[in-house]
Amino acid sequence: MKIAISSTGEGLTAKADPRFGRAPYFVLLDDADSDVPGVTVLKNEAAEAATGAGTEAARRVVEEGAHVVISGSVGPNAFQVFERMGIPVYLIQGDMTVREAYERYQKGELTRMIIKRL
Amino acid sequence: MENTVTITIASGKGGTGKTLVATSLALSLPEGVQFLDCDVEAPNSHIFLNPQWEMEVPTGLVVPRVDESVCTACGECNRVCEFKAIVVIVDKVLVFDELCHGCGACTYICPVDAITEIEKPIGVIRKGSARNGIHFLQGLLNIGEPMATPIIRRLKKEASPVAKITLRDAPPGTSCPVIESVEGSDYTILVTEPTPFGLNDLKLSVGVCRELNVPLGVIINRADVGDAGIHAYCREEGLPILMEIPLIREVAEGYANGVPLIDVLPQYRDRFQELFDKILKEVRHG
Repeated sequence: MKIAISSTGEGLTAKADPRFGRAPYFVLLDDADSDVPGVTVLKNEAAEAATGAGTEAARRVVEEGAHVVISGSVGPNAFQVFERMGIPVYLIQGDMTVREAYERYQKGELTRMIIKRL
Repeated sequence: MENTVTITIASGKGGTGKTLVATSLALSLPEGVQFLDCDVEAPNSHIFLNPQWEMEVPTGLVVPRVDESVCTACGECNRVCEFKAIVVIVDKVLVFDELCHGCGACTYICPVDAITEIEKPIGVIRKGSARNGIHFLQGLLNIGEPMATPIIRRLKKEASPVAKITLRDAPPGTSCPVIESVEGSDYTILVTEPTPFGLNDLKLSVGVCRELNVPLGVIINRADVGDAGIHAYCREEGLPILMEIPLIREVAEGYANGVPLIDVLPQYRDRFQELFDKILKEVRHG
């Protein structure tokens, strides 16, 4: 399973970015077949876009094959992309590294994002 | 047109007195001024000019709809969209209306003609007439709609091109709606106040006008409070100070009750006429 975490830097020790569309990187963890996840880094080309950063970043993350997304907050447009693709979004709160975010997710400590439709 | 003039009243900072100036200027000029309230997110000039509404024109934004039975999910629309308002993921196409600027690029580029355009209503243009023969037009963006610029563009289109004098009351700030409001005008009056905020935002507004190549002058409202920063800046930049309006309690009270400045202080009528003559001279002769 592939997990995408919005990040301020390029590895597990970097601080997780509370923003989604404007995060400079996504750290992708692939823990499919082993206890030690394989780490790849996706540079977020949309981070500097005037508008539409969220939808474009979401599209790229989906394209990279993420099954789960971890971030501090995901805007309504990007969230709609994930919802449509059946990809759950989990929320982090406060400062933590990418590794900590991943570990908390594994322990089931992160809240899943929902948007109530009116 | 040779014998028409369009003046925009703008300001970087909100609440400096755009509408105060625009409404009293309109009432000080000969009958038949065309007045455009371009602050479509919060129009308020009608409170002072009290027009009789005569017409309402619904205004929309053209947004794409995708026929999924025809779409091959090639992703061309996604690629060409400047605003990423249309997103193709695997075999699905998602359209985000609130990100769409209605440019039509996706419809144009689609190789299998899977995209049609629908008009999504985002606001209205209202037309009416007010005292002093003012031809009054107002744009009004629907609550929750993010994009003001298409309404302003439409408002300008709905305006009469032969009106001798057109005044545009611009929204505050220096973003797209302001640029749309200033663009195409012959002159811009920047209203400011003598505070550090006023000065900071005046500088930004001057930058916008210069970029758009529109001549400008400055009106300082509440001129007797604050500091001398605006004067120093205008001197340095060679910007004319067209008028200074002191802080007068009666004017503020009148304004709070929807009474224009010149109804409280009729002697300002002459000052506004002089100001207009000065602007006209500059516009005609450079």
